[in-house]
Amino acid sequence: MPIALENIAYIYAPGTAYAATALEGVNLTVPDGAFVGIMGKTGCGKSTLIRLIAGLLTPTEGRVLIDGCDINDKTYDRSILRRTVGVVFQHPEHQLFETTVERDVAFGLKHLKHTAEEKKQAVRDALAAVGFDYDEVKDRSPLSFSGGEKRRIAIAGVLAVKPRILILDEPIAGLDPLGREAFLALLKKLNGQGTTILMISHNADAIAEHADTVLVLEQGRVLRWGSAKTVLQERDFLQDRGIGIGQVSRIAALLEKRGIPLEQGTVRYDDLLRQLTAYGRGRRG
Amino acid sequence: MNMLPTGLYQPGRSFLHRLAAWVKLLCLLLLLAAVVTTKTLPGYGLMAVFTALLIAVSRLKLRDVFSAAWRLRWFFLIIFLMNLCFYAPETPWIRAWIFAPSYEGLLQGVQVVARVLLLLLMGGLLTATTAPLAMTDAFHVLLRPLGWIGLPVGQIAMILSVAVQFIPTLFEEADAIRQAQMARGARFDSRKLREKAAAVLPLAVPIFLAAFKRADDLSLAMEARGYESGRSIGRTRQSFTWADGGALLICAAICAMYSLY
Repeated sequence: MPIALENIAYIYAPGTAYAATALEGVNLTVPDGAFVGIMGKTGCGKSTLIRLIAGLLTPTEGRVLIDGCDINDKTYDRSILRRTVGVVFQHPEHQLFETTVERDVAFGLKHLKHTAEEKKQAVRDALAAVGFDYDEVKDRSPLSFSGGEKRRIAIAGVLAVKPRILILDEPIAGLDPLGREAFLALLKKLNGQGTTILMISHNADAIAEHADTVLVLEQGRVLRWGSAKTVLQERDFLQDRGIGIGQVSRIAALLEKRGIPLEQGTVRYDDLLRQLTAYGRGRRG
Repeated sequence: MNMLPTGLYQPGRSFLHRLAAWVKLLCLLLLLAAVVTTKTLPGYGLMAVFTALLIAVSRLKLRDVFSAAWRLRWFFLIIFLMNLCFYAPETPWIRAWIFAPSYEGLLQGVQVVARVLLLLLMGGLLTATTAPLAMTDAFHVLLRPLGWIGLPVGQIAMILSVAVQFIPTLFEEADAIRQAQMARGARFDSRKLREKAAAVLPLAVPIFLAAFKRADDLSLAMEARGYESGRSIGRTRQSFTWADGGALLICAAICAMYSLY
């Protein structure tokens, strides 16, 4: 079941001297199993949007529907929301607090009616998903790991609940290239298993390669919302607004300037490679 | 996020906003002295008029000015009733069990409430019209004489201003962590005492860790930029305008008048 935002507006500290409109007139429906990349400049309302979907903020206007239920309705059971939606915030490593990795990863499972064995299995699976061996790390303090490792442990804590919707705020910022690839591969895998993914990122490459749908926000409004190809092929439009475009788009622009014809919506590496190979064969043959 | 404590600084451009912070602080002390030395009801009346004038000049919303007093309404009621009933049990109107309301008690009750209310309103005016950082600068200026007896005023002012500057950051960080833990299923809204206590750890541990980390980073950054503890690098130049002088003079005059009569 999808996520639907109906005419959402959000104002911070309304009625005071500090009032600021963060979002206005947002209407979206995210279908199940989508991989949505969310782009926009700092302060455009990206973080507010995901907090609204996660039910951490209440919209000033409009409704947030998940599986057809208004999550801000008084009769809505919030524990369903917590089970359905997992959120990985910026610097998730800051949320670690337990004495052992196992306890920290299991924190979100506390309120679920799992048996001890099920819990253990969920923790094992979650740690395996982020590349840790359960028996090796379970008794260590989460604070004794390096920054990148801590982040993976924190993410395991979110995955342990097996959320059907996974929201990520700049999850790959500050990771080394290998860690970034591994993490994006994990997202791809989860998405393949049916998890809806919403990922905020300034990394246009990551979004171009992995997202199937792209949302571009500007000053609290939806600027573009559609398939990754259609949105990302508007290279000049995006660049004029200070929103980065990926390497592949950049290369495609240069190639087109040189008179090499490319298909509309060439934003992914594989697409570009396939066309260039075909073009090269054509020239030789 | 929107966790700014209410009743504090309200940005504005009024006469009160523009006065130098240390002048306002000094004026507040003078006026407080005047309020405390008042013994007569007309004295309180006059002070109330003056406070009302200040409120009008500040152009603050009345709701912001009185919100702190409104939160203490039960406290005011109770101290008033206690004074009324227990202050002068020798000359009561009527005597009912241990309660003995009297005319003297009524006067005393009004006085005590008026005194606390005036202190609260004036203090509130100062914090509402002065940015927190300007306030720490004011401490710096007013404490400077203590530097002559060896007090590290520059360092104290630096500690104060760093602490004040990081309150919003820490609030923001605490909020971010609270949201992250809520998204992981933590419940901070539970009514059960046991769950409430259990909810403290997931907040406190990361917040302390973050605060220590931040303090460490900041001290390194300050050192990298050439800060040496012990050498004052505070903003030593403070503007002093005719308005500042006038305000000080008026408040000093009021204070003198009250202490004489």
